[in-house]
Amino acid sequence: MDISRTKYILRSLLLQGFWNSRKMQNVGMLFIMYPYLFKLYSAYPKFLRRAIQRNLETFNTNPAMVSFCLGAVMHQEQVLLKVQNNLDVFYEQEKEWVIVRSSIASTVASLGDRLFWSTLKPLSLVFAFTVLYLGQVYFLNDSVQVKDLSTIVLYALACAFLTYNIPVFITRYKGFTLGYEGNEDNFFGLTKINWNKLITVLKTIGQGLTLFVFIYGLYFYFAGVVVDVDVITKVILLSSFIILSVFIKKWNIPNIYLYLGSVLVFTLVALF
Amino acid sequence: MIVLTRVDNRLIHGQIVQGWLPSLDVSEVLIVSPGAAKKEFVKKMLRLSLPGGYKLAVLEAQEAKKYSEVSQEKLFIIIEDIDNLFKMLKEGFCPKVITLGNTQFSEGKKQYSQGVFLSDDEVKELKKLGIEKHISVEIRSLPNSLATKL
Amino acid sequence: MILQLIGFCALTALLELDTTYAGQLLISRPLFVGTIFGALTGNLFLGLQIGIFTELIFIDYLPIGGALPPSGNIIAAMAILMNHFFKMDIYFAFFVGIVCGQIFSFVEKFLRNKRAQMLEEIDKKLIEIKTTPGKIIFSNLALEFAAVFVFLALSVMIFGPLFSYLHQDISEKVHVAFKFAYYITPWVGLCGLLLSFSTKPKED
Repeated sequence: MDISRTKYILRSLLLQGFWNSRKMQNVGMLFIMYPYLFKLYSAYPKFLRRAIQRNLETFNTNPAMVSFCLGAVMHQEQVLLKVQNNLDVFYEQEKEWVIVRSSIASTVASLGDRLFWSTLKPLSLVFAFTVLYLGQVYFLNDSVQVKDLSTIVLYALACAFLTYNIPVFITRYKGFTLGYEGNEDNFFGLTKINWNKLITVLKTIGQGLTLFVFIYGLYFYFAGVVVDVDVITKVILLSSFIILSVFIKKWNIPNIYLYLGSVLVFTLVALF
Repeated sequence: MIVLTRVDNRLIHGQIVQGWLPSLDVSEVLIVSPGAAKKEFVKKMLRLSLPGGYKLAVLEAQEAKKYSEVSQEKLFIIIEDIDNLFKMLKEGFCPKVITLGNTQFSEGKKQYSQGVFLSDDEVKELKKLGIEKHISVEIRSLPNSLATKL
Repeated sequence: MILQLIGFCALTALLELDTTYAGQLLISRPLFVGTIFGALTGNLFLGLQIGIFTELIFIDYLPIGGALPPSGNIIAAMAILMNHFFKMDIYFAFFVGIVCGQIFSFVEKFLRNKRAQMLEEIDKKLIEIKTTPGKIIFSNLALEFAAVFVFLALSVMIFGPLFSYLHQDISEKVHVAFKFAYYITPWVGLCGLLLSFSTKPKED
C-alpha cells in the first residue's frame, strides 16, 4: 500500500497531545494511525472497531523515535488483515501485534531518551555556546567589523535548533521506512544502526566541547581581573559550590536544590 | 549479589537506563518475564535498549530465582508484574527491599503513584511480606524521587 | 502594558504546548524562549542570559518515564516578564520564575491525572467512533493553552504587585545574597552539563 510518509510524520508530532498518567500516549497513537486504519479497513468495517480498540491500548515511547513503532505497527496491521478470515490465526497474530508494538515502544523509548533527551539536547546547547564564544572571537576581530552581537546570538540559536531537529526529522523519516518495510526477523531495521556507539561518540564530543566552554568561560570571566581579597573569596566560594554540586550527585540531588539552598543560606547569612 | 529488585511492567526503559543504572553499581540486568524469555525478538529488543556495558539475562520466574543465587554478577532484577514477583517469592526468593516502579492498570485496581496500580488483594499480600519476611516494599519511580512505603 | 502582558502570557502558553503536547521541536527550551522574549522586550542579552542559566540549572533534570520537571519555558518567560514589566532585579526575577515553574508542575500533574480519569469515557467514545482522536487532542491542546495562560496571568498579577510593594523593604544584603546565588548557577550548571555527558551507564 502506498502511503504518504510526510502526512504520518506530521501527525506524529501530536503523539503526546493527550498525555495522561494512565495510558500515556494511547490517544495520540490512535490519532496518528487513524487515517491509516480507515484506509486499510475501508472494506471491512467490522474489523475497524477492533483495530481502533487495539490501537488505543497503553502506549509510551520517545516521540522523536515513534516512527519506528509506527512503521512496524502498520506493517503488523497488514499482516492481521491478511489472516482475518481464519479467526484462530487472527487471535494468534493479534497477540504477536501486541508484543511487537510494546517491545519496540520500550526499546526506542530507551534509545530515544538516551540519544535525544540526554545527549543531543544538551549537545545542541553546547553547540550554541561554542558558536557564541567563537562568534565573539571571530566577529569582534578588527578585520571583520560586525558591531551587531545579536547576529551571533541568532546564529547560536539557529545552530541549537538545527543540530537537534535535523537528526530528529531524519530519524522520524528513516525510522518510518525501516519499520514499515521491516519485519520481526530483521528487527524492524533497529539493528541497522549501532546506537550505543553513536551515543558514545556524541557524548565524547559533548564532553570535549563542554570542557572547552568551561575553560574558555573561566578565562573570559577572570581575564583582566585584579586579584584582591574580594576576588579570592569569590573564587573559593565558587569552587566550593562546584565541588558540592558534583558531590550531591551521589545522592541524586538535582542542581536546582543547590540553587534554592544557596539562596536560603546566603539570605540567612546576610540577614544575621 | 542482588543490588536492587524492582517490579516494572515496562521492563527496560528511560527510567531504568537513565535513572537507575547510572546511580547503581550493577553489572547485569536480570529480566523476569515468561513472555519475553520465550521470544527471541523480545530478547533482542531488550538487549538493544540496554547500554552495551551491561550483561543481560531474560528468564522466567523459577529459573530467575535460581539464577539470582548462583550468579556472581551484581544483579539488578526487573520483574514484569506482581504475579511473577509472587511466583519468585513462593520459590523462596527473599530480597531486603522490593521497589514498585510501574504496574499496569486494569479494572478494579487503585492508583498508588504515577505508574503503580494495585488491587486490594495485592496490597494485602505485599503488606504481609513486611511482617512475615521482613521485606520492605516501596513505591519509587526514580532514584531521586521520594520512596513511599506501601 | 496590560495588552502586552496578555500577549506575552499567550505566547508563553502557546510555546508551552511544544514542551509535551505538540511538536517537541524544543522551541520552548529556555535558550529560545529567553532570547526571544529578551529581544521582544528590548534586552536581548539579558534574555539570553536567563535562557542559558535556566537551561543549565535544569540540565540534570530529565523528563524520563513521565517524570515531571518544572517547565523551563515558564521559568524563563516569567523571569523576563517580571524584570521588564515590574522592574524586578534579574536575580529576584529568576527566583520567582523558578518558584512559578515549580508550582506549575503541580498544576500539570493535576491535569495529567484529570485526563487519566476522563480516559475511560473517552476510550469508549473512540471505539464506538462517536468522536475522533483529532477532536480530543485539539480540545485538550486548547484546554492546556488556557490553563497555562490563566496560571501565568495569575502569577504575574500576584508576584508583580507583591514585589513592587515589598521592594522598598528588601535590604541591600538580601540583594547581594540572591545575586550571588544567581551568578553561581551557570558554573554549577556547566559542571552538571559535563557530568551529563558521562558515559556511565557504559555505552560501548
